[in-house]
Amino acid sequence: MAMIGRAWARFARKKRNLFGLGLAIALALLAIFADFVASSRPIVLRRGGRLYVFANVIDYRDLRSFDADGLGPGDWALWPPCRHGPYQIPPLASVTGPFPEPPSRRHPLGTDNAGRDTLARLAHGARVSLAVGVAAALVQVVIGLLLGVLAGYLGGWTDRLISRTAEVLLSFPLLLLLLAVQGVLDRTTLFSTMAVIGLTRWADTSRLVRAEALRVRELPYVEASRALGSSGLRTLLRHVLPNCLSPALVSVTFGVASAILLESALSFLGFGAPEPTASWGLLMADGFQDILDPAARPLVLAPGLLLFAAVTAFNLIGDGLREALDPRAQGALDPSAFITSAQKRVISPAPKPDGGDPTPAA
Amino acid sequence: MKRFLARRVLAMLATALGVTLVAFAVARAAPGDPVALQGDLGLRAGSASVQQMREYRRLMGLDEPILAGYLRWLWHLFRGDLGTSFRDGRPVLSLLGEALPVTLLLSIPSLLVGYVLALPVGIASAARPGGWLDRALSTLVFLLHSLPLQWVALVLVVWPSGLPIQGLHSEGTSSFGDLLAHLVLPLACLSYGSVAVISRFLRSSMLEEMRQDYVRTARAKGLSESAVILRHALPNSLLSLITLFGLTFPALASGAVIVERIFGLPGMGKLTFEAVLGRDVPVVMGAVALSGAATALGTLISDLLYAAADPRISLEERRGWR
Repeated sequence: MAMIGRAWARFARKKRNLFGLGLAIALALLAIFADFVASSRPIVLRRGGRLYVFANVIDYRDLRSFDADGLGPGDWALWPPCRHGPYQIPPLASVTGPFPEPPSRRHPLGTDNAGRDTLARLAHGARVSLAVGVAAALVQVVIGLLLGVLAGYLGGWTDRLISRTAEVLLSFPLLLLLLAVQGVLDRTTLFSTMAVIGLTRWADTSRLVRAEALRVRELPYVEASRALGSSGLRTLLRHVLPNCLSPALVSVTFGVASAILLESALSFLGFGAPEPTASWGLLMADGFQDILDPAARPLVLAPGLLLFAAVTAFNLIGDGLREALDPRAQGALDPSAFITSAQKRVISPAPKPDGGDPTPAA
Repeated sequence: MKRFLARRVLAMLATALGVTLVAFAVARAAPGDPVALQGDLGLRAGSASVQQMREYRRLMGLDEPILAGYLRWLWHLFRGDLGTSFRDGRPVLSLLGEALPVTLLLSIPSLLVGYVLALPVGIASAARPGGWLDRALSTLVFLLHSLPLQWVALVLVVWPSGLPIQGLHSEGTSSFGDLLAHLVLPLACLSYGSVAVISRFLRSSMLEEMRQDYVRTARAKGLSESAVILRHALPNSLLSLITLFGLTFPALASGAVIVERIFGLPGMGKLTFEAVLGRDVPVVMGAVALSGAATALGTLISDLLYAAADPRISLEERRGWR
């Protein structure tokens, strides 16, 4: 506990870490409460003497054919700020101009080419991005942690096999691989997008965890555990694994950022979130279809800004965490954050199995 | 050195084999069941006919057990036979041959631009670590690093810069200036990421060098700070930048998919994208194998360059790990 407190104190010392954390929390709140930001149904509705609470999230049977204009004299409604749902297509009769519509009072950011409100789709897109990002990063970290610890602790052939596989994955153009895998699937879904990102990015985590495991396994307390007669598995799970968690934690945070980027790139290319999901990448793809139409500008530009905010937030947190968890880390924006290749081992040789310092003595 | 060379080449071959095996496994998983094809997939525009698919699977060994099939595929690859495209029946090899130069035309200059722009940024940051310039540049670079590529590309397309945003040539012209103008925006998209990575890398490796004894000596003998930085610390830091050369390769290949799609450039990215879209399995496999091989080669070249520049690396290798 004391360790967490110290790490937090180090993390909170820098304003930009807190800024990143705040930004991430704000986006998470937007994702969770997207229905309270944009919905085609009011939050609270009184109609015909009946009160409907949270009509925006609960699917009341009576409200299936709800029409905002059909409110009687005694009725009232509490609306979310944006009165459109992300999938709501306007009825043909009410269509006045061509789609995509430019920003107007009705649609502050205009609509896409099916007449869906851009602001509503943006708000709900936070859900897709963060959900896929976090889920993919969790898959990545679980696999990477297990394989990394095994490789580092057991060494020998296990290590060689795992490290070699990781190297292949890392030296591969990731987007091409993801594209090919998603293209093979019958239909891409959010789940498959999340899965392929997690399944291909574990190598990044395992590399960091392996280096840590190599260091940890030579420490006196691991030796003590073995000397006390605990089995290899027990030593691995109780002593080595918990002490390899901090690189895993750092890599999961960066993992969220890069999974969000990958999801949006895949969705932009049409191999991620399926239509009509409100995904930021897909929104940009919709905008790209009408790229020369000024009315589509918000559709092209706004999702990117949110994407940028989300990626920045998680990168900032990851950066702060690394500094907070590893007192040896030098300064801000350690370049190893950018390096996702097997070449890392040439640049900074991994810790030697004898537990020596990884960097040659200066 | 010889031993190092041999090890690296072996490692590269292992990587290339691994990459192709992954490509092979992916292609095997492609829905090739004729019934499925006739049902849902056969109706897709541009998709393979059942017969083409069956023929390709037989030819490339996709019907056999995985290892036997892979060996057969390797044999075909070895003889330069990558099959023919399902869509237009042309040999995959010639499709790749047309697309690769376009991608190289983008990626090689973008690497150069990346290095050229990153040098001053990295040097300025390292000259006064923690100073206002360093902090400003660090923030800038951090933000650059978080920018989504497709968004940057779209912004540049929408931005009224007057530069061409589509294709490699304007209608009816093929002058060099015209080609250059068409390359500006795609290059900007592919370069900003490497500027971020390379400049950060240069900064930290320069800081590392500045702590060394020889820098202290240079300062002690009364050299000006700029001479210490530019003539002593910089040349040694540049060595480590060589390794980044191979490292930016995968990112460039990934970036090419998005950039070529947005700017309509007929390179590897567009070829792969369209092949995946049309389930043109032979082209997908060929493209994936080629980019895998190119990355492996890039890694090898930069490893070797680095070892040639810094003999400690091959010594390191000999002492041990792996």
